Amino acid sequence: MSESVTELIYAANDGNAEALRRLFAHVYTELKRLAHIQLARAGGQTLNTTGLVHEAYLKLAQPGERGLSDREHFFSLAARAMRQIVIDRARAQVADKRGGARRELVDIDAAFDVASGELGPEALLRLNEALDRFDREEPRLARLVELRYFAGLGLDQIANLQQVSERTLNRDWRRAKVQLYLTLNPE
Amino acid sequence: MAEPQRLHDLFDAALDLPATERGAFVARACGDDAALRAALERWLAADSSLDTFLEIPPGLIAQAHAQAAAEEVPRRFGPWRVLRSLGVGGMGEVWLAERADGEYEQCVAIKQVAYPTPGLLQRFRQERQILARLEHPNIAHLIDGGVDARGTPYFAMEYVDGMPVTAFARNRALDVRACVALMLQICEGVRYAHQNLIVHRDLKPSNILVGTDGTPKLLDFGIAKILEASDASAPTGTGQRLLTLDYAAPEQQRGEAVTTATDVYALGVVLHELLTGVRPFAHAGEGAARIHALLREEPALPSATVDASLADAAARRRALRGDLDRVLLAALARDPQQRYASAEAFAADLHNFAEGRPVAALGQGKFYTLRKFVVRNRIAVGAATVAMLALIGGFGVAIVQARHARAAAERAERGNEFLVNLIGNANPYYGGKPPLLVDAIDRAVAEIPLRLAGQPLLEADIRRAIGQAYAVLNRNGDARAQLDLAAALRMHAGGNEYAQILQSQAYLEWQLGRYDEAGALYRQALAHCTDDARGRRQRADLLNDEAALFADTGRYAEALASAGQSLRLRENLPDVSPREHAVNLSNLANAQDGLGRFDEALATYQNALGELETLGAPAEFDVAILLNNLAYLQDEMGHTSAAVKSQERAIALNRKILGVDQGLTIKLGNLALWYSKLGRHDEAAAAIDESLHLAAQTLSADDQKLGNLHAVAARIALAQGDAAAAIVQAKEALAIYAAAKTLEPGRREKAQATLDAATSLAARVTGK
Repeated sequence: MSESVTELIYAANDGNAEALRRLFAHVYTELKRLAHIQLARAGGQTLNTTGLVHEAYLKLAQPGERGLSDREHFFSLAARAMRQIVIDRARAQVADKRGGARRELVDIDAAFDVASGELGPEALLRLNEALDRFDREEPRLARLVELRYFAGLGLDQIANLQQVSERTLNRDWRRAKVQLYLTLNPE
Repeated sequence: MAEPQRLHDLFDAALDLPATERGAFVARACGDDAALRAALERWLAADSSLDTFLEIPPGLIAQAHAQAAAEEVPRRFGPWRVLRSLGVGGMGEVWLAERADGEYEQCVAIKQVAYPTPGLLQRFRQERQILARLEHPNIAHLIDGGVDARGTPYFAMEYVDGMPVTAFARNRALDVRACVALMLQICEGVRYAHQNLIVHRDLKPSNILVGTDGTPKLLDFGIAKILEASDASAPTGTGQRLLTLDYAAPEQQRGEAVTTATDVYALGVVLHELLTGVRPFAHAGEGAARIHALLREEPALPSATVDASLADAAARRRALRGDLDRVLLAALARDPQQRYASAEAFAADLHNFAEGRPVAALGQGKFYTLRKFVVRNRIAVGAATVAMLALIGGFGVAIVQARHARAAAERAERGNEFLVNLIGNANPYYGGKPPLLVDAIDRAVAEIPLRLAGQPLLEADIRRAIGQAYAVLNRNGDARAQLDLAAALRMHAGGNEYAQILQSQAYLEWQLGRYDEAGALYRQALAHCTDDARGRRQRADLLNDEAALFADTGRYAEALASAGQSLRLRENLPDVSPREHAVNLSNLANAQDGLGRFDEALATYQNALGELETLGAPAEFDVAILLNNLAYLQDEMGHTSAAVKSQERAIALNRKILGVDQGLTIKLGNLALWYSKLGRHDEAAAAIDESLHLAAQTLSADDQKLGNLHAVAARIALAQGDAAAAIVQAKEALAIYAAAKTLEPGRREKAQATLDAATSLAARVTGK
């Protein structure tokens, strides 16, 4: 292993775009691998993404006395990677459905998703589009959604990570949810 | 979706109110802005209805679910029932399990690959194979293995219910001694692995667990490497496994060959952390600076890095200063060749520390003869020893690489040259700290018949190097045996290499006080030198050594002739190193001094000093010797103040380069005498006190040099008017002279005279 993720994080922090790209690839690969293992462990139950990201962090960054900013940087990257994993799979699922195969089965899955409060693949793709707009207009809220929803971090953890009050985060979070929900469900 | 800021603010404000008050707030705040009011009401309605939206993390796609569903959480592995997961490691998952059949109560850790890809399976099999050959109380051992219901292999190993070594040390508040004792136990496990040709490669606190009984155990040989011939050319990278940066040795981080010294580095980091509370390079801070430091700098002095927040920080700093600092720095050397070669060598020095003996990393400085230091050429010790071990070390690592190198060159001669150059050019002092590894040399000797079969000339050169190292380590019998074998192997070929062996034999005899034999061997060696440039260089070296030998036995006229001949030879040689020339000059000066040609000697010394001083730090060792000899001359010439200045410089260099050794002891004694001559009594007393204090560790009880020091102490005490102390010291000197094997003429008489003077002074004092 010629490159260390820790080094990449530092380099990425210093604005090295190539390091950022490679770091992202590492995180992405590692998260996918861990997702598999965790799914296997949980017997197919709802994925505990918090544990997953923490594991990825421990695995990748080997945190010793890492500074807070490194941790925040890592988690936002990990959350971004999770978002991409989930959206990639949602896309594959939708493509699969359009291809006509296993239509019935997927519909049942989708129905289950709705009943259990999860978003179906189409909803996820639309959520992703809405988030793309957030990325431009309200990047702070976009990061928050990634950390909370895609990385599964608690608001308390995010507050700690970003050094902002939980009260502020709570208001941001509710506003983000409302805006995204209304975008996904216009009347 | 860009809602006006006003909407955001009102939404936030409304959320702070109880639900019952929001209606009134909206009406008041929006006034007659109907659009704003509608939007705000819509937001608040959505907010109160969104209970699970975005609160349940997305499951991955159906495919992953299906796959996961097929993979049940394992409940059983053969006779083992899973209790819980212990975590996910580099290769897969580890579970805690117990015997399902109730046969007996035993908890084990079960390891299985996450995905049975060919690469992972191979690694997994290798780890199992490694564990199977490791049965040691400090290594978590293999218990059982098999395949699970789906046919995926697993193995069960000893479950260590403990905590990482650093946490353990913190919890138990272990002091420095206890930490060293714990590290010695850890070294036992690593040493055992090394003996079995296994390098762990990933030693770090989380892989070194300490049970409640205080026994450390090594875990996770998942990326360990079996050192075998077939591996030598294989990539040394650790696959997808990410190294723990702080514990990975520099060569590992650069993807270079991994040896047993790689584990030593990791152990060094762990010990550093145990002793100082921080890892090396913690001072470099975070970020790029730290990375840079890890890869490119030697670590700071450990005692200077002790975490100030530790309750016993001051005590730790004191305990670390000196020996432990040196041991840690030798373990953490960036160049693996400068490091302890194996856990065993590291442990041996920690034992030295634990038992209050001087550590080997200190430097052995056993080169001097009696009164003056004899200047010789290139006695390769520390670095040569290390180089040798790297080549034929008992660890099978480097020899494999060496063999490969030779095979690649397809000529044994190449390997030969490589080795000889490595050893011949190595100077033990250039690094400042020669790491001596006598135990490892012993093992290397045992391996020679196996490793060097059919290569008699290479064997001869290596045995010479080993013999020379033994000689330096005062293992004279072993030295002679190796040199005799080397000579026998080279005798027929003759030539410069044979002359070199004779030179080493001569040095040994000289060390043993057999001056005539030594002289005869030098003559014989000179006869074997060829007439080309290399032979002439060899002859110059030999003549220079011979000059030093003559001077050492008082044959100054012959010393002068040999030194002069050597210098003339060098005048016509290409690329004479300035150091060799200066050393040669200083032997000439020594001879001139001996012949009473003081002014010439002084000028020659000053020339040599000038040449050495241009070389900077690498020549400091030679400068130290020269200044010492110059100081003698200056004293002889009656220039005592100049002698004191020279000797003070020599002592400062000695402290810097070699630390505490016999040379420092003697130099301080002489300095004390000269201070006393100048009437600087307090400085004299301090210097002789330190000298006698050091003598306890650096001189044997029946060494006449120890007697000389007591005689000096007696004269200093007498000069200060302390008759009682003078009597005690003079009597001590006489007792040592009585037991000494050899004694220079006049010593006893001088000491007796001092005793008489002290006794009469005492009588006069009491008489009053």
